[in-house]
Amino acid sequence: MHPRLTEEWPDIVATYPDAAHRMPPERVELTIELDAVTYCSPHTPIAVLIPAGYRVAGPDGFLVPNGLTMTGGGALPASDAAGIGMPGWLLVSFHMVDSNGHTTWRPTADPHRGDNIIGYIASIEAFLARGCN
Amino acid sequence: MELCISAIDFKTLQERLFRPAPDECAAFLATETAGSRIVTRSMQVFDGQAFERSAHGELSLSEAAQVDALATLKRDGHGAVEVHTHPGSGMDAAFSRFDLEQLPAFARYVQNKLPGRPYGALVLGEAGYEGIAITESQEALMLRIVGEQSAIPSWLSSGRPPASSPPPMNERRFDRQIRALGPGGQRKLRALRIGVVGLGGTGSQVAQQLAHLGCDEVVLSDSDRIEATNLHRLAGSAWWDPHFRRKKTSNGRRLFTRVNPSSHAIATGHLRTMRTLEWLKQVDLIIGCVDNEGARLILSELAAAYLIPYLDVAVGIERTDKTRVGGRVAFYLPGGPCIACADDLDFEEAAEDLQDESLRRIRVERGYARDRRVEAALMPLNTVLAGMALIEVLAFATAIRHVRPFARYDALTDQITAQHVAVNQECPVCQPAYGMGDRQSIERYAFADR
Repeated sequence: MHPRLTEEWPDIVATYPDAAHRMPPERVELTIELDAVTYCSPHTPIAVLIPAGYRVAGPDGFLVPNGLTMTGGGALPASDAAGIGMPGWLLVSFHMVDSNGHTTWRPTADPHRGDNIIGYIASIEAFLARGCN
Repeated sequence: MELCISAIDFKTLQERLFRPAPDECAAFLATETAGSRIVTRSMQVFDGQAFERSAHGELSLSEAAQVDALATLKRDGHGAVEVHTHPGSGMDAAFSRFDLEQLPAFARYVQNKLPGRPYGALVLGEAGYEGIAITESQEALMLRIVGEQSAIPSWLSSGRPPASSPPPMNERRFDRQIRALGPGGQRKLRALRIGVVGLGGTGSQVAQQLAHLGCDEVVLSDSDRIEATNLHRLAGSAWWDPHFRRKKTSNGRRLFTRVNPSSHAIATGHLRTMRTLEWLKQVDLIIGCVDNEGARLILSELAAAYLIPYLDVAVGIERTDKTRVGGRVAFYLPGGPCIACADDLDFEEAAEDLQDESLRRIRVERGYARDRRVEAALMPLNTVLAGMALIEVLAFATAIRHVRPFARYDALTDQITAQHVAVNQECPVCQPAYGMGDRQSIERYAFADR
């Protein structure tokens, strides 16, 4: 396991008890609840890839299983993830950037402060709750 | 076995341990395995209340203090080296009979608490020490203080002993240099094993100067081959090199063998290979002459984790609204500030540089990343920065002056400005990696297919 992820792992599991660490590519997989009015399913597995340079480098997008759609069949803003070693998954376009396109990812030495995986997953939940806006 | 500790940490340790002299004092060093060495991540120096005095007058650490300290080490997964002082022993520090009687039982106790972790004991005098490493057997624990020469106590030499005894120096070749550095300085330079990462415009000149200075043991890393567009700035290159697709590392090796046919220049290829990363863990100094932030992040982490000094050289020419021509030299001395502490590492660019190529293509398609542009380059600028870097190498190795860790060069105003930088305790680069050795898993940066 990536050494910075090891530091965060107890907090991740405490917050998301079904969280699992898998590789390759190194990732965290867990299930999150969805708004059943917006999506075709009330919950979905997601995967967050852990960059080699994590925590200096933040995660860049997340994955959902191929087949997750909006209610009515609309597609998520995503592309096929087979090319990055995740066949059967879609890479959702979700980037933590400001209006100038610069990253808003601000890590610190402390795994409990600054940006981390738990904060990133919370942002994903908020993004999905907004209907991917 | 070698126990590495940064000169900065050793100075703190020594000051705090000898403060209660003539009473003895003790500390636990939190350690990690780093290849065949042990590296020091942090220390806990005990105050007077942590000690008990036996009926015979010997001081020993109370059981409560031991339990607390070992619980912390266990929680963080570290090994331990117990250090205590013998004030007044000067150069003749050695374990006492009482120490040697207590040591086996204490070692078993610690190894029981910290299974599978390295354990050692060290007794320190004002100008000497004795150490024992207890693994499956007992062996001598050799203290290695990592830092600039002027920060290392005179009773300890900083250099790694050469792997094999070197041939006698050609005194005539170094005559003028020895007049400047002294024979001791020349020996210190020669004893260094230096890693040069990036052998382009700056790196080739760094390599050339190292060869002439008499640094005969180098590890050269670069995966590029020489192209026609490199010839205007690549020291040692020839017009025919692009035709034969000569590697830049091969040009680097040629620079060494021309000056000294018996030099040991090892070419390792791309930084992000297991081979290069393994070699770099074993050098005494890394000189980074790279053109991307991803490589700087890898080298910064490796240097912090394995307590290896890292000198980073950067040049830049910007011809936008405001023309800027210059560069900077940044010297990470373990325990001191790194380039990220100095705000000289662009995290966003580093993240992009290290991104998987297929993921990067998706980002470019979506408009979140730019294709890399070709940078302007001028050989004289590389020359100035390579020269500034090598002056710092001389300061580091021979103590001709103190190392100036951060300096910028502005070619338009012709000014060199020294920067004062403090350690950023929140730095996400050097702080989590510091002294973590093999647990930093630096190999994760290696490409899976190389």
